[in-house]
Amino acid sequence: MKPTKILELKTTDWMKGLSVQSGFSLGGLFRIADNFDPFEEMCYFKPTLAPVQVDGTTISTKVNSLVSKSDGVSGYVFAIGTRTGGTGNKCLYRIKLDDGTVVDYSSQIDQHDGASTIPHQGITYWNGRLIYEANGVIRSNIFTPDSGSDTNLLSTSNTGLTGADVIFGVGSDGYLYYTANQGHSIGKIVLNTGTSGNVNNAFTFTDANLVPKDITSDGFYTIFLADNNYQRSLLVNATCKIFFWDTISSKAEVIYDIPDSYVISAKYVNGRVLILGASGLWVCNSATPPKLVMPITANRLPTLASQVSVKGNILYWASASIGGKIYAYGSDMGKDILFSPYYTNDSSNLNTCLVCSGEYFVAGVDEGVTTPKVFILNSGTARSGATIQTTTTPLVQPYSLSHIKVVIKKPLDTGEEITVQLLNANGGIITDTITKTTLVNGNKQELLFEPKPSSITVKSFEDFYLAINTNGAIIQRATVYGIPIDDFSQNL
Amino acid sequence: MTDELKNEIVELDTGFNKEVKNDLINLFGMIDTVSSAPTHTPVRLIDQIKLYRNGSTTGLYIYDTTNKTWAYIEHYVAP
Repeated sequence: MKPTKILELKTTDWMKGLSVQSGFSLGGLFRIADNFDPFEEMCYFKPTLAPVQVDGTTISTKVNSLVSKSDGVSGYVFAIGTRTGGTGNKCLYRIKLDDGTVVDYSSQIDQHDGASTIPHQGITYWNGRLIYEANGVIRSNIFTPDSGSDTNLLSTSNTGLTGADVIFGVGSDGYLYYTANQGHSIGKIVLNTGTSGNVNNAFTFTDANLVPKDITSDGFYTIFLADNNYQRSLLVNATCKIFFWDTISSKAEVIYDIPDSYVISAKYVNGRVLILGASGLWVCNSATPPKLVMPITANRLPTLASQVSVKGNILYWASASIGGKIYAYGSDMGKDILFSPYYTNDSSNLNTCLVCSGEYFVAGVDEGVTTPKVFILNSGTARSGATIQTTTTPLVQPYSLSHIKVVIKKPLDTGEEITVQLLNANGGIITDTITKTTLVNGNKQELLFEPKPSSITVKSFEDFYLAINTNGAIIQRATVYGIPIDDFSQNL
Repeated sequence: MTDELKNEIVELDTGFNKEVKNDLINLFGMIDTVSSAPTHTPVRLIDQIKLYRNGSTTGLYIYDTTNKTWAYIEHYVAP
């Protein structure tokens, strides 16, 4: 019988994002879409630029919080980590993004604390000064940190809860607020060069078990996210709340419960508040209570708000699972989708923090949970490997595979390669992996993949999914052709 | 000539919670009662109006957004 199309990916299909489930297309078309930003070149499957590790010699201590700052000419990211004691353990770096150079300012901070172990839980830049948390104290320093400028802003900040981070956020009144995670309150910084007026309890939760998790603002209200399960147990009935506060009243104007096990982060994105919690992504504003809009599994979620960042209309976060994947929700154009635009391409990498800085994202990573690294994502010269796997496509009759056709945007170049594989829903191999390179196949633009049997080849199938990996090449279309088998007379 | 094949996905409702309707008719108790004159700058309509009670004195404060001041009307009690 004549082969017919049983799957075709083209144009806007590439912009349909990740599905909630792998078994069928629920909210997205792909079960996996790694290292692929659908909005970089819309309607093509284009791998993201490779990540670049910055100065692995200077960066020798785990980085757990990042902030972006420009000097008016170049972009910089400050990275703060936890000093673990002993000579050579660092805790504050300034990374210049255009050349990746790192300056170690570890010896210029913590001037008011002689302790050898100083956990740092957060950093920001506000009103012309670098603001950081150090072992229950809030301090500030200048853009080029020096010990003489290291200034105490609040000597009892009620921070330091193990397992939580300290998030800074500018409130609707323009002052700096932070999550006082030991004090079950929100602290306020009004002066960045001294202690006058700075308090650790500008807002105190009525429920003394609540731990603040994140701070954002919608322009009218300063918004806090809190729960009583900062240990992130899935086995408790937790209290999770979001507060909308006008920064004047003694109580919040609006308080909504979030029926989830724990909450991670809340950011104001594209006119609404997006909340990441144990169940996935929630949306709300001050007039409408939270609604779960995208269930997300734990391996795709971050654990702390310092792993979440916003760029334009899109919320980005560093997943907590090994592999260093960055996920995102939103859209530059069209419908909001879940996608996975970047990764650090090492199966042992564990993300610790993330920040957007202009066109780049900077991620703190532990390799094997012990070796600290910092990457500038999407900044290399080469386009690294990207992978998509479709959700399972059910068929109405049995098929055998005829062939797979892949069309790329321009002829295959030296070093580029494309690999395809077709599997049934149970993981059975319909065609084994086939790779096309210029070395073997020449610089073609239309590539034909004939079935390649394996020792356990599935000869006929009634459901399937397609896996494609492209190393450098930009894919325009991928089509699977099947030969129909008569359902009634099939010889089984 | 081959046919075009479309990929259908089940769309999620990613908009705000439609179960809640903040109709004006449902609002009650939104106006605060205060015992001292308000001094803050309100950011919402509902914060622009404060009922004042202090001892036997009752009045109404309304924020004048043009002149950026609070206007006060006191309840007259006949002697």
